[in-house]
Amino acid sequence: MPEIVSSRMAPKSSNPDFLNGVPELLLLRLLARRPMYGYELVQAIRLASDGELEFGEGCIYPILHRLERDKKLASKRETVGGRSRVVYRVTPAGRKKLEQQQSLWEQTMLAIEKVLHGEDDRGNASIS
Amino acid sequence: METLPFLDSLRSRLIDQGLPRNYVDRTVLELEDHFEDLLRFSSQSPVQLARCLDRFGTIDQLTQRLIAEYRQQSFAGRHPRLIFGLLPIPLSFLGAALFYLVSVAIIPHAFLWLTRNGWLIPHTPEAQQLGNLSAGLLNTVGEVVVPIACALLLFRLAYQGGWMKGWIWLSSGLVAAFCLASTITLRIQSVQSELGRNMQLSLQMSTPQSLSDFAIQALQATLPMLVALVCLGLNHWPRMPHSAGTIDAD
Repeated sequence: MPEIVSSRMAPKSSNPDFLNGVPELLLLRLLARRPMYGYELVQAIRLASDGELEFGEGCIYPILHRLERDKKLASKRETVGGRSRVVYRVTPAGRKKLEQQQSLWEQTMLAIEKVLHGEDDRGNASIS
Repeated sequence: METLPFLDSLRSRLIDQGLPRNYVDRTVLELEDHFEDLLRFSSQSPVQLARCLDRFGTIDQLTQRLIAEYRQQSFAGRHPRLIFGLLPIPLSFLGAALFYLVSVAIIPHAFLWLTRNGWLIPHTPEAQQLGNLSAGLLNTVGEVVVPIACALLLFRLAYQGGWMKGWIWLSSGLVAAFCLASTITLRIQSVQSELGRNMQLSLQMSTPQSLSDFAIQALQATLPMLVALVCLGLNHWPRMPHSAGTIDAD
């Protein structure tokens, strides 16, 4: 069974490159609500996005480890539901980072929205 | 639950690629927990199972991502050629200079202290002998300690950067460093009979003149290489899995 994993190529439903940085934002956001372990986090992302956001679930760990090394997260091995799991939580530095990232993301979204749905013709005017 | 075979394979790949053993063990343990949960919360139908595997990511993806993320963390991880190819040469010089400068700064005070306490009388053959002896001892210690210290620093950087597999680069860099360190050495000379007060630092070429010179240079090259081999060997040695976490959040 596990050999199937090694022989497969990339999963069919990975998100494109422009979502770089988004997993960090989502992880910080979700962990700011309550401490969670890896599997829980992936499920929380899927539920919160109605299944729209999916990525290789194992790839979440390098991101968590990076955030932990940057002191944005802290981890602790705890017993959850009778099983031992590494539970992550946001540090004060992580909360600060979350605020910055969220603000940046909202600004970016607003700018993209303007370009996509703007009614005036300023973009074309400047090119011509 | 026994470690899944593909996670064993992942572990081997990561270690072979030079990631630190304790980080690899911790990550594989978490992945194992995750995969176990995936199977537990999915029905065991082949379709569900295939979907689980799809969601988990392939071994190639995991290897690539884990290595990239780890190496992105440190300067040594991002710039291995600079650190392991070029750094050893200035490092050996700076290390030697630092060692001898500190020695030259300390020794006169030590001699002064011995003189003040009446344990040493200046301008005597015994004092001159002690001066020569301490200078010779420091030179010998420096010839061994400095290269080993450089090697340890480089391996620390390799460990932090996830380049423990870069032993070829490290070895070549170290060899270059030791060649330099052994042909151009900073040496302490005890001048006249003024004990430590007149010790001076001189830069001199010291090509091997005798069998003992060759032996010292061989030792200089061998000891750090042994350090390198031990460090690499330790990275392949199984350890206890990651235990508790690090920092409490609030």
